[in-house]
Amino acid sequence: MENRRPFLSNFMHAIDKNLLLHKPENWTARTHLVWYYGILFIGILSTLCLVIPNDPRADSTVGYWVLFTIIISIVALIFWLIFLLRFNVFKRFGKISSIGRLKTFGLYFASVGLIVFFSYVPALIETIRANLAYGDKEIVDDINNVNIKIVQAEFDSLNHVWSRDSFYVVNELHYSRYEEVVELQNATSTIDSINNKNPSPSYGSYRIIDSADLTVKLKSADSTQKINDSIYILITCPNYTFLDFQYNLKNTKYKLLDNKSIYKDIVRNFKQPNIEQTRKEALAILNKYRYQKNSDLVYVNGQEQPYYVDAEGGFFLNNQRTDIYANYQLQNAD
Amino acid sequence: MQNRVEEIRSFLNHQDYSLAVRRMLDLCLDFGNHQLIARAIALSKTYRLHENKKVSSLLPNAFLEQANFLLAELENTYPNSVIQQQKLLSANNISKTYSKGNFSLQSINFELKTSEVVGVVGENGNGKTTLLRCLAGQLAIDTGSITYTLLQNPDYYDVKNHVVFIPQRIPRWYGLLKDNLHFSASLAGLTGKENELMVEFMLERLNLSSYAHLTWNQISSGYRTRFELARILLQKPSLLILDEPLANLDINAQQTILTDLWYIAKSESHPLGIILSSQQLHEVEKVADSVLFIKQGACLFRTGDIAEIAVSNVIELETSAERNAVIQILGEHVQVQFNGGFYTLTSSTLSSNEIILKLLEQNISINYFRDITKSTKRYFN
Repeated sequence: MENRRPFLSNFMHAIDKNLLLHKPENWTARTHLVWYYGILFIGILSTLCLVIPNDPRADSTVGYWVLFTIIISIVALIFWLIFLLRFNVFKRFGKISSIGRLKTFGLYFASVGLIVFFSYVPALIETIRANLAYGDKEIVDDINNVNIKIVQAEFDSLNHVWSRDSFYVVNELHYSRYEEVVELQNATSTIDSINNKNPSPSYGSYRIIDSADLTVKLKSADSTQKINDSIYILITCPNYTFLDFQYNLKNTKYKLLDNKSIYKDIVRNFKQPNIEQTRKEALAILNKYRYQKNSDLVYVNGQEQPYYVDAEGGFFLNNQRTDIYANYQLQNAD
Repeated sequence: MQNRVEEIRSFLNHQDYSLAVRRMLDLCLDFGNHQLIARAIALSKTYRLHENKKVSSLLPNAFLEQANFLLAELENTYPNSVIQQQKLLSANNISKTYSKGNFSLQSINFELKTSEVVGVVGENGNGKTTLLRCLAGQLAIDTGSITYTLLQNPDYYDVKNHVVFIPQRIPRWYGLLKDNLHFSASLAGLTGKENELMVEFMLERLNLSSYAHLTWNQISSGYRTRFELARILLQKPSLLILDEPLANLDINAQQTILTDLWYIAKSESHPLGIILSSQQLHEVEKVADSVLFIKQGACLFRTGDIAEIAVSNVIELETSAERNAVIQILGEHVQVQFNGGFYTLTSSTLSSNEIILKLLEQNISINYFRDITKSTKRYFN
């Protein structure tokens, strides 16, 4: 058993020999070599991804890396398959137990998984680099600050009236009637509505929904008024969260301020700050995440701004970073 | 046992060291003691080293001392045993017709026991390979039945483990030759140190150690046959079927491998049944217990049958004398045929010795002759 394979360490050589003498099925499957060279390749790929300069705010280059690794993976799989076919492993005879066959299948499965994993390495390295450059807490704090500062700076332009939606709940609803608006006249109040201190009138326009949809809407509503078993009024806070998480930050332990929190903390007892100063501060935070000056910003009145307030189009913000801070859409405040 | 030790001593005394070493390896293998096998391997390596150096001097005394010491030890401890022959294979009225082509193998009955070597001879395209492949389970037979007596309700996998077929064109090996041998041994259940020992043993036994570190492309077709044989023997099959194993071997190698096959078949620890086809009639007939002669898909004769039915004596003769001179000397009692290279002389009244004697008395120079009365060669024409 001469060591003829490139980059094969003595340790791997010993494993190869051991498998040959004790586990011929595993030896001929060559999964140990697949793992060895696979890990070696992952190491080289990771080093390359780390060494090549990459600003986390720039457009992601993962696509090119994935294409490259897919090609490598396909070549590796074909190379391995040819090796297996050459050794005629699919019609091998000898003393092979059923458990042995199952173990070998497991090894094949895991080895294919390792080869497929090549494609995830660049994204993994890029994520690690981005996380090292910008921590979760820093991003969450910045998003909250931007949202607060936009509310403070654009207070007069924003809608602060809570919206009300009236629903008539039925047990089952044909999809063609979903959220159909109906008019109820002089509907009889139920015990629930009688007990309510401020019962709302049970007549008016209602959208028909089924009970399942009601459950969903109740979870997202900021406030609920139940008229009777069938009639609900859901009250929603105006939108103050112009920036939101995308993708990976959904699971962070740091929480964004929601609309109600911003309403309670900022809007309800609003104190007008220096608008220009607040805008500058918001701009400073947003500029932190700009990859290049003058890149992909929205211009309003010939001035470079990271966001703008427009009565027709609402608020809009653009940023290059697509996988972590991508294309934050500032929701229309209407 | 006593005979085998004496046989080896005789080889040593007559300086037939190669044969002595091979037989000593066989003896130690039959003994089944790994320590003894390792010692026999070491002894063989010493001999091979000396042989490879092409030194004309005698082997060192240490070699002979070690050999005699090992033999004495074997002589004192080896248990006497008698090989119990078992029926391995029974083919009853098997026939095979190919869907394309007009060849068909006609009804053949055949039996094989352990320790038995059977040769299958015949001209090209007469059904030797078809018969062997049917017996190996590689081709489905049209009629009749093949029973592998040691197997009960065997499936294809069982048959493949029991019967090994070595084709004339051996599939290519990949990787190092030695690794392939280790792999086969390992698949056959020989693991760890035992695996290493048995591979070393087989390499020494078939004189392949010098080539073990090479690859398939680096060895000749003759050595490929020998490596394939080594690989198969490591799997310890019960029935070995070889198609034209001598085709790629030189004359010395043919003799060696046939002798080895005969010894392997007669092994005490693991006796085999061997069926081999070949064009080398005389070489095969020397080692085979019986020979089948196949012609146009039918088994015409077995050597045992020939002895019983032969009513005339047949010899091959090569001489520089003219045909008329030969006919004149032998007279009307001998039928003379000329096959281009040599004469075939057939007589129902004169024995072979009498025919030769008559020719010598008339100063006819004889370059070559062979009595083929009991050989299947007489049916080749």
